[in-house]
Amino acid sequence: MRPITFAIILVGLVSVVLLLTSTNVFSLLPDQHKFINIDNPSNDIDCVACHSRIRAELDNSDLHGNLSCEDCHRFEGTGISFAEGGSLATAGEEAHAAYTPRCLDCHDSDGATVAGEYATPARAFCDANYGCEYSAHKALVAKANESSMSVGENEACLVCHTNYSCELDYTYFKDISYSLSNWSFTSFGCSGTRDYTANWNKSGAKHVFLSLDKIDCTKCHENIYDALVIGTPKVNGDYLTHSPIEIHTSGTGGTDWNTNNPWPFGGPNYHDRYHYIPEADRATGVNSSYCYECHNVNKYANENLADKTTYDLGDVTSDTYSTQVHCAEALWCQTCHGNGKTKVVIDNPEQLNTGHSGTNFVDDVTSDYARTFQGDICMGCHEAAVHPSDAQAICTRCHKFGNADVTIKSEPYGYATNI
Amino acid sequence: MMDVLLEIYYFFAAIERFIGDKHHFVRIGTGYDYVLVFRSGNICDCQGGEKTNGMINLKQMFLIIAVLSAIAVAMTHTVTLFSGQHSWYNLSGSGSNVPCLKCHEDIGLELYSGGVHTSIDCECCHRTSKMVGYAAVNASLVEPGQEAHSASTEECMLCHDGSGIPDTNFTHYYLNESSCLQCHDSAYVVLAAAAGGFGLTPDLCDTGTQAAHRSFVLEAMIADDSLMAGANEACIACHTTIKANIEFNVSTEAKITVNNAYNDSYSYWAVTEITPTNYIPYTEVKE
Repeated sequence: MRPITFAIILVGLVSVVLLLTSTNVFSLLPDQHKFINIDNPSNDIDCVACHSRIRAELDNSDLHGNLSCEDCHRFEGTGISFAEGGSLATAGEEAHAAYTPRCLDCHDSDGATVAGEYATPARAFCDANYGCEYSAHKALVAKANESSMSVGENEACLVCHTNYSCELDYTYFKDISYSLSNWSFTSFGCSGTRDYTANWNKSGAKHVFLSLDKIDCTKCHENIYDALVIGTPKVNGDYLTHSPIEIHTSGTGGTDWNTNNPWPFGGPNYHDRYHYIPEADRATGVNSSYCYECHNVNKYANENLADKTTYDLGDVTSDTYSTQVHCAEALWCQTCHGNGKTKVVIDNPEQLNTGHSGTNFVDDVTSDYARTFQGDICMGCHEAAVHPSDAQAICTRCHKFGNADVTIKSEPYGYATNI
Repeated sequence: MMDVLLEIYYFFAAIERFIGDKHHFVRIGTGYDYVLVFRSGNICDCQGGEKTNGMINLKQMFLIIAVLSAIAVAMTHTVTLFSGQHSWYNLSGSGSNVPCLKCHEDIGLELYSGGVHTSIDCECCHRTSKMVGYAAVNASLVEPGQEAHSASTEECMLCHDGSGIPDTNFTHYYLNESSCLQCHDSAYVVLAAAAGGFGLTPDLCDTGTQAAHRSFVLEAMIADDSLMAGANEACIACHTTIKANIEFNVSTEAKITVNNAYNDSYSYWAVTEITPTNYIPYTEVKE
């Protein structure tokens, strides 16, 4: 007998024995008839059995790590009826086991108490119309609410408050040019389109919530960070938009803007400038706190009490809408500087009331030109960029008579000519 | 006859070659060892692994087999290969009279191990579809079965869809009358809770618009090549201890398009698009 014949006979015999001794058929999917007890009220199904990755993310989260799945996904404050077991079982209406919560369900204007802790309202964004028109991220939140990617405004919340990464593709103007004659505009124009992509690369985990101090403005606004830190490199000082300097032609310090601040000419209020960061400190000094110096004066003042006193930030706050925004205010130089503002426009003493402080120049910039240009119009001079070689003649042209021809590039560069 | 005997001889010879050890034992029956050992063409009768003097040759072996064959031919009874195959169940009673658990004991063990449905008979789920004509005998009327014979694979929603008779597809026609209280309380109220929250029950408030797992349920329902009936894959995955591999594909990044719209005197920032990107796959294993 050949081995193969023998093997077949042997297998056949074994099969026959098994068939004769077993009366059961085998279930294709074992345990499908082992039903979980749902006698208890609320949820008896183990969410983590299918969502262990999300539980692991929460366990590594700065916030919300103490919450159970049910705390958020079966939140009772929405009026949603979930399926529940127990003697008085309910079927569920808007949702069965769970719903995808809108962050504002808990963080709305009233806040909510979840798992014994109070969820604070998301200031401004929890209000109707997302606060005032000066909320810097209002367009993002509004679009997120319109988007079908997630419920409510969650996309906007997630990109800032979690490890969910984001790529921002910006499109804006490339440069502007203008001419002044005795502090009046004789021409203005913008040209070109700049495309800039900022990436805030994170782990991608939507359930790893970041503590507020980890929300880094400079990641999504990298073009502005680069404008502040790198700008357009030049031998005698980089051209840095978004970092205005105080211009003076006399008094102590000369043009040594990096290290000295003569304003106001060595008087009792002599101090470091509010906006300007010496070159050596830029890489670390340009951070979210620096952004708040302007874009949320109220927050910055409350967190930096010494500066609050030094720079009269209590009064400056009243010039802004910083108490009415979520994290940042859309503003421009004229928000704090101009007639009737805490920080009035001033000139060197010899031009007092004759230079741009003696006219409606700043106010006219505000009223006549688009928001997006206003800061760069100021920076055209306050960046102290390329000056012609015949400085003596040209100084008076601009600094005394208010005549200038300016071209300035938008962030992240900032190269400017001022002749 | 000789051909058969030679084939038997060759079979035992093959066993010897297969075992490779001429002193291996083959246990037959219980309580004692009866051993056939081939040695140089001889078959010896051994006990307890010790070779005895009762060695027989091939001719003797053939003789024994011939005698046994004669006995088998002379017997008035044949031995049934499948005992009990002519003990027919009486199908004249109500409900199913065939014990499902004879073949599906493992499912019975699962059901009786705890949780819900522990007191529900097989037929209460598997012979209750109004859309199916099962084989049955009712009042001596024999119904041969149409869409199914003894049982059908039914949707969980057959009982949990929240419909009331006659709207439901559930029928009591094939059930045993003694099984009422398995699904009804003493007031005959249906105990099976409606699976609300997916928009699948007649309750107008059951919209399911906020249900996190609604797409899971709907996908389970519409898949033509689905594993189970209706939405059962989704029901079973959560409500039983069945093992499941779940392959997720999730976005880890949002792509946000921001345009600055402007003319000389007016401008605004517009967020024109938010798109999920950078999807990554991962697998959850539900044990």
